[in-house]
Amino acid sequence: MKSPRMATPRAFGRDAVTRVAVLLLVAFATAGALAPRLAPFPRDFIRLDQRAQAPSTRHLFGTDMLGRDVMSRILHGARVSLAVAVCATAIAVAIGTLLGALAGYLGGRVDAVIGALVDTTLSLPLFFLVLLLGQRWGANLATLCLVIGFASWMPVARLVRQTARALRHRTFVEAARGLGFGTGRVLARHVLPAAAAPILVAAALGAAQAVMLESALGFLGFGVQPPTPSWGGMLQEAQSHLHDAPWLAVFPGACIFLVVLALHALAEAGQSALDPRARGARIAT
Amino acid sequence: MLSYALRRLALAVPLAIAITMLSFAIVRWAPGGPLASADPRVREVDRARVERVLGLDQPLVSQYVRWLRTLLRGDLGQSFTTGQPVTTMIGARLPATLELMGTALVLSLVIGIGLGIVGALRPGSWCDRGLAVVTLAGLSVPVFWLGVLAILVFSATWGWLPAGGRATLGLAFTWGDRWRHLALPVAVLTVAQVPLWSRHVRANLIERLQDEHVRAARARGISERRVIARHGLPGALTPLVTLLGLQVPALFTGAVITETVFAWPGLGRLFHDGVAHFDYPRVLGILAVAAVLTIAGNLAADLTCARLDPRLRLRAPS
Amino acid sequence: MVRRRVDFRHVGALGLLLLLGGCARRESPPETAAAGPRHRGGTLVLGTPEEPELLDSILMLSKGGQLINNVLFSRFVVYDDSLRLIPDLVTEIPTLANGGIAPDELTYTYHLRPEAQWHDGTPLTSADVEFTYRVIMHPDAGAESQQGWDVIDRVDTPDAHTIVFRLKEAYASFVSDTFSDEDVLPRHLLQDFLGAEFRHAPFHRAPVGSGPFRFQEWVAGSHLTVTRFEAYHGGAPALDAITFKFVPEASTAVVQLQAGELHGFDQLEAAQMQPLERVAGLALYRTPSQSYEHVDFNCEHPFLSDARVRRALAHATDRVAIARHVYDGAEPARADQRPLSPWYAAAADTALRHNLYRSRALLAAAGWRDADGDGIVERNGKPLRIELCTTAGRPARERTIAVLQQQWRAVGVEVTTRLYNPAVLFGSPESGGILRRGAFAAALFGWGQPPDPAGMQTVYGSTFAPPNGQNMGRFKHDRLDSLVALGARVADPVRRVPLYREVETILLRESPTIPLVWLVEIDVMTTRLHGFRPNPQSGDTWNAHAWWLAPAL
Repeated sequence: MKSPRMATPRAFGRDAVTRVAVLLLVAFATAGALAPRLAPFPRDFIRLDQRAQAPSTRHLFGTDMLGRDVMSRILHGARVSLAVAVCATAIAVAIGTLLGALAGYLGGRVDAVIGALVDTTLSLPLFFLVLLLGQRWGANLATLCLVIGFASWMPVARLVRQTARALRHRTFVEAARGLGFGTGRVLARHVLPAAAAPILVAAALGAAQAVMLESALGFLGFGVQPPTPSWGGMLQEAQSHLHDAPWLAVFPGACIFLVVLALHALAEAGQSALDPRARGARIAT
Repeated sequence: MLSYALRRLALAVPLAIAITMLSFAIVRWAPGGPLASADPRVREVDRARVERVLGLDQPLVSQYVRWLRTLLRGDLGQSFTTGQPVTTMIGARLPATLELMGTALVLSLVIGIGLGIVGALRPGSWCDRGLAVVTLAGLSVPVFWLGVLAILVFSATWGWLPAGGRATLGLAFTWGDRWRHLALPVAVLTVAQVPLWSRHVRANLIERLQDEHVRAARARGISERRVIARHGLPGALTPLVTLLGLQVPALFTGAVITETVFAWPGLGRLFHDGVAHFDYPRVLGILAVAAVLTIAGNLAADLTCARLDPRLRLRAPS
Repeated sequence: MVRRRVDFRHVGALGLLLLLGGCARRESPPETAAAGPRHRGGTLVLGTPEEPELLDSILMLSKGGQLINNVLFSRFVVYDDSLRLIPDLVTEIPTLANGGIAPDELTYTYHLRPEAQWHDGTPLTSADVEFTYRVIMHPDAGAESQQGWDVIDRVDTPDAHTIVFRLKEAYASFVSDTFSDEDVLPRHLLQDFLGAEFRHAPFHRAPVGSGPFRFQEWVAGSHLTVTRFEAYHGGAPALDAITFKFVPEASTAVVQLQAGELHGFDQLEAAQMQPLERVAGLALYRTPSQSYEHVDFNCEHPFLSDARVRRALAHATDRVAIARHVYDGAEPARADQRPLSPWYAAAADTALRHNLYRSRALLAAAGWRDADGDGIVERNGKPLRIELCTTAGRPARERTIAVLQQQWRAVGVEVTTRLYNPAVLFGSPESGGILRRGAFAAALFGWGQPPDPAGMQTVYGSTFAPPNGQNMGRFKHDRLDSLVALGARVADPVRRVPLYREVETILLRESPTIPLVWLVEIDVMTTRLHGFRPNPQSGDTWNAHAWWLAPAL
């Protein structure tokens, strides 16, 4: 019987959708990285006489309430939003996977303690915590990613824990233990790949929420300081201008949507690569 | 099973108290206070007087002890801004919140599980991909925009449904009126929550359907429908119970943005206003209830999982 | 041009402002539907974004309830929509001329209207006034502010309708402050709650007042209804009832207005005006308010302690552009006092205009020049870099600091911007309050300007730096100190006006703050409603007893 880990990675990337998703993400990341060169206008270039212009040949995505080019701000915003989405989700997944795996596999006291940690983190008041940490550690991007990551690891942990608990008595795991493999190795090579499915789904879904959370925390004076744009921040600004300037919301919203979609497609592809059974091929019996 | 449950329960009470202590510390150490948001022109001497009246000049520890003592008696304290007991304030808004969040949860579960099953049966097909795009669209559009757009389309443009509120003013209670007001906010919340369920169900079900005992069942000639229903679904749905446990406090605390957009008189706004005004008793009271619900919810989820999946009841390997 | 008349009949009266000819700075009110005979009846549904926590004003920690408070309760005096003080519960405003103010300016006598009564029929007497005073001054009751009340030495009630206040010291704005914000409370319903229990009295959420409407029901989070009080001392109102609907989101309110679910809305956002302009039967009102946005400098900051640098930044600021483009046509503020105020000096009109040459010249005179050609001025090798901060969560302020950053960059000042949560910006020094600790260089925020300028002392007086007052910028000027101290004590407007004109001139020369724009309050109301006169100072419902609703066609 094959252990799931031994699936070949060559299956990844065959799918057209997956390739498009990868291209999309790479494109956004590159656009963000090269934003100062690519952007047609400087991101802070205020032209009060040009404010709230609908999309045109000169301003492909229109201008915002201060006459700044929306496309340039979206390009610069890609940096912040992608960085936050990736870092915060990575932190959440890392913490959640580690704690969930330990809790599920080891059980007993470790499980109880980590369960208490989950409940505690869920119950903490995020608003006040953010205010407090902003004051102590500084309200910058690094702290923001840490805060979002620390606020989002719980669903991942619970999912991994459940998988680990279900798996710890499976034959192949017991076989691995019988062979003398330590806890770490058993977890890393046997338990985690089987938990890959829910982790990846949670990570992709969590990325979108990380972007939203970034903009919500911006309202608290946290995260990016003006004039640095971010997609979530642009959406917030566009809230009261739905009637007179709908393009202010459409373009940042579309970018967030495309990134989430791409991440999700990647999550599915990753899931298939790690576990060939998930590709859904019906095996003739 | 019973011993497991008892062990967890014994932990729950000290845990709840520890959480209240931590929440109290965070809330009170954070900058700001009930007078920070008041008119900046308020004199220092008036500010000091009001702080003394509100009991905020005491050392933090004694404030916490006093609060904990009233909490253990079941009294959540009295609001700084309205003077009412916090329990009364929560009680007044609870029905509206449960109405909204409960309906949305049930609907999103039903639709989410349904869509997840459909996607799992034909993985990779156009139908599956289309569903992925549609449901993920609902997730990546922020709730605020979903709500405002829903009002613009269904209320302003087509005039089918009312724009916000829980009931028509001045009209006597009718079910029809209530459902019409509930429709849009529930729809918005459902659209945002369905992908959470459907993507997990789909992924889990796909995996379950490749398990050995499923293949064995198919080999025995059992119909596909029975295979899915009796062998695939239970295993696929068990992880959902885990996530459901995490949703229990949300049922209580509501959804602030939806309540704001639809002018829904719920607990989300109550909490949010309390935070904005630094109304500590209200904030801490709601946090305390939410903490208890969180612990209870997770405990219930664990017990249900253990019941559904006997493997989970086994002790850890030594 | 604005004509000003000083009405000498009110020479002794304090805080009385003048009728300005032509109301030149306000648009004339929109046309209401053809006025037929005054029609009695109808329920008005008025939307408001903020729901109050309490319905009476002594304890209010937030200002959301003014609209409802106006219709339920009465006060001694009210500011009308031209910022004139008019009597409500009292028969006339006390002045030196009519004997209401004793010649020593320490004794104030008020006469209550004998027909005033509470919603339960009990007559309103001086005992109620004296009781309310005791509530405010009670150390455990938790009244929001005792300012202006702690100067009272004694309250006498010689008969049921006369009250005499004796003061410990002269207080210039006594008449304009006393019972103009605070309601008179019923003694017979609250006398058991005098003390620490006052905060928890159920009265605050189901009050019995003396205003034109009585409380009927309050569905928390949804709406509040008041109904006509027939025995109101100002005459029974024409409307049967008013329902206040709480709609926190502006877009939702727009849809409800279009559908006719709301008759009017208080404090609309500028961006929501456009979809409502086309709706028949709705009229939009733009009224300059008493709030203005301004930049405060920290005068103890090493770069900003020189008044020339501050003046240079004021000259570099294009207020007109900010008012037009960021605040959608609000009135640019050119001085600390609102244009409708008589304390506003004509000289202030022409000073500190947008003038980049003067700005650069002032910087050069202060020793700041651009030596290395990078566009930033330096002095002794140090570039002029300052941090401009404001509250997070308000798009207009974020745009303003972005614009200021660009405008000040044009004269060589490099600005970094910073957003703080309001609790952090305005908080107490112990909890890290930025302004109160003086941990800022320049800060953009707003003040509400009270009609009487006596409050300028706590904002600009050198002994009123936090925690003693609101002189966040730690501004110090000896001549100004003596002027504002005198202005806060002298009652006679003839003597006060020149004092404050000189204060204004000093403020322009020293520029501790740059006033930016007067905020505009936008209201929308059905054209069927007659008598609606928006009043940002007192709240738009200040004259609700005079409103009437033409029947729907």
